[in-house]
Amino acid sequence: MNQLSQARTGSNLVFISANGGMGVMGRLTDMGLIPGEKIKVLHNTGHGQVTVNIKGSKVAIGHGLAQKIVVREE
Amino acid sequence: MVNKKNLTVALAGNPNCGKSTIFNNLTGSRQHVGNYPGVTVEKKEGNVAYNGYDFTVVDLPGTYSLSAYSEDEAVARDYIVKEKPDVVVHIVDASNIERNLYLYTQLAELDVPIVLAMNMSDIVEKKGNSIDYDELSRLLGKPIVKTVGNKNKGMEDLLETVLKLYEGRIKIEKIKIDYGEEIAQELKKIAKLLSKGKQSLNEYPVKWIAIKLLENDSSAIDVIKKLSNEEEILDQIEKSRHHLKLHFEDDPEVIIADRRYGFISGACTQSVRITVEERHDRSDQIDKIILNRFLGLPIFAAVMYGIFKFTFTFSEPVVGWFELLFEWMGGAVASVVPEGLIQSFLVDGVIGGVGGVLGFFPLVLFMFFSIAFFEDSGYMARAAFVMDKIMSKFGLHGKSFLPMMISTNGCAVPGIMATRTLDSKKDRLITMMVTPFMICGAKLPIFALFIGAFFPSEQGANMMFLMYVLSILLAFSSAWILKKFVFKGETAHFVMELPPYRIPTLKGLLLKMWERGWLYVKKAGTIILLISIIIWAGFTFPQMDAQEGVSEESVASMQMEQSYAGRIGKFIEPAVKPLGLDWRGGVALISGVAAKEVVVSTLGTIYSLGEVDAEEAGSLKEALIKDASWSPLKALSFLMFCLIYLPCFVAMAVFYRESGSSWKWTSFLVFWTTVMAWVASFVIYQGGTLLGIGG
Repeated sequence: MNQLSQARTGSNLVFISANGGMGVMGRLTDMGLIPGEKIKVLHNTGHGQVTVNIKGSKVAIGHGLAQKIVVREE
Repeated sequence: MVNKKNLTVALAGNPNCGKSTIFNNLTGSRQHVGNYPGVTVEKKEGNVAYNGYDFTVVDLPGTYSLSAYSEDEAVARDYIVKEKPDVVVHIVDASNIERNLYLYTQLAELDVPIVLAMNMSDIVEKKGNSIDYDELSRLLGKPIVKTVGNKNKGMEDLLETVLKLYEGRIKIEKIKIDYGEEIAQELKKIAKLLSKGKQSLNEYPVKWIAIKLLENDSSAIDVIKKLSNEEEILDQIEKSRHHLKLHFEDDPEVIIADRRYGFISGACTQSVRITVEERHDRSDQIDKIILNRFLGLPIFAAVMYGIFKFTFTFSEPVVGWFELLFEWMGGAVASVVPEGLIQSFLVDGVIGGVGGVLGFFPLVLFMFFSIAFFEDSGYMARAAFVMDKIMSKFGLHGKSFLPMMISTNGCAVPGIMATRTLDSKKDRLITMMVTPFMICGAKLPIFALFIGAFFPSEQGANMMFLMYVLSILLAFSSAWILKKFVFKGETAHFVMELPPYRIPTLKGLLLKMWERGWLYVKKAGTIILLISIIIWAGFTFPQMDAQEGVSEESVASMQMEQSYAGRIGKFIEPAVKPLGLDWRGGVALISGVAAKEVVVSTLGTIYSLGEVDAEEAGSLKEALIKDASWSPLKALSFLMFCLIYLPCFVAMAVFYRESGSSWKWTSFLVFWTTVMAWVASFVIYQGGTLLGIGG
């Protein structure tokens, strides 16, 4: 179990959960991120900001949020 | 044709699904944006005639779901439920079908007539996938139309299908999402309480409200607040949510979302065939550079600089022609209309005032065009992401950048409205407070005028860029102070879709440019015309008689000083004197509160009234250069004041409304900006004088 902010560019992950209250989780589900969803890290800027592929679309996630997203290697 | 039948069609869909392209294709130039002031929603509407019907097409805000995380979503949902459009067209990016259909599951549960437009269907095939549209249509229970928005394909088909559905020639079927036995049981319990005594649910279907309540949706909770058995329902929700949490070991809203995606994924497995594994596309390659940790910010700065360079370089000759045109008009009117009050009214009041503002119209258009280009190409979303890291240090959100960008050269009014995309109330208020600091399209003429008059032309673009940098620094430092002392707490998280890079269509750019530019002209033709006339009257009355032995020039200047406006200016002169300004600057600043363009038109009126011979009146720029009471330092102090001081009336009205009708925050805004403006100008003028710069 890892933080998304530390994921390497190109790694394939499975989304587990997000800590950070109702609003955060709701936003993520709207974007297609539900527990068990497979995601691919397209780019980690090195500042903890990442872009990921979720259900075929590219989503940018800020460093604060990426720290709160728990993932595991696929 | 007489008595055309009317039909209202609402366009719904995710952001970046090509919704506005389809809207533009359908309605062409026959569209208008709902007036900003007074109306709570920015509503884009257009018309198209088809087969004996007049279609009114409404472009709803792009949303991912119908939850109430942000106001855009609430607006879209309220429109569908309350205004009851005859048909809702849900536009789906077919190349990204599963995520896009999530919105469909919620639209369908509202029990409204839906047509699905599978947009960008050409990209699906290019990616090597294939969709069995007939099968998908059967599974979703709604008619499907294939469209390619940017190639203008499938529009007639879309209108035809909408019409068929409206006339009842095709039927739609309700879909049933299987939420599972546990959830269905709880929904039934809540629905039973909601139906008690046939109470009004603001026109929402009972089942829809029941689901939303189970999801803990705040606006669904607002709906039941007026019900007589509110306590009982809230109690049941509490129990149901608790029960489901124990059962699933997760929040009910997550399980519900999971079931919705399950429904879509079921439909897609049966109808979508993925033949080629997705490879790295070109957008990913470009993003490797654009979002690079070292290159991201320099590229951002370069793009911004490019926008200014482009705008000012290319608009300069056109602005010159416009100035000549208005000068010529003034001269022509003066030679036809006999000297006197009427001539003065037309030349000094109307042409001098409005012309001064409209002269900058080409510049504004060029600016809107280049901003639209970067918006439509997909760069702006990246810019928000690149800026997020820095913005968050100052207590702003990456998305705050977009309202600030819209306000820059655009208008703070849509800028303040664009803060609706921010989820957190605090982030919104901070962004709204600092958005008016940006140099809007109305302040632009002030800067262009003074920089043009007092600084060498080769430095013009650089000076202008410096002003923009200053406005950004100002906004950031204000945000930091506000975050530190007023709105404490954590900034909301950044999550945003990055659309694929696209080459914008010329039509789309021109429409966007025109739509925003037209507001500018409309303002010049109405508010500014009115204020110009008032200001002209303020300087013209009471009239002084010509006196023996006094030259015409001194009569003109005495007239102005003793007019109503002149007296007001004299009254406030002590307040602006420490800033290096005289009564004329003071009057211009006061009138600028009505609309910032008026600062220029007021000066235009003052200087053209001061000219003895109307036919001789040159451009305002020349008049300022000739006037010895100005200096580069005074001009800079004046510009600084204009940069910071309180936003125009319209922006303040929108701020008041968008801040939740808060007098507290609105008066805070007024006080804060005025004090800051005065202090900054004071420091510049007095500091500059002490150091002996540009005196």
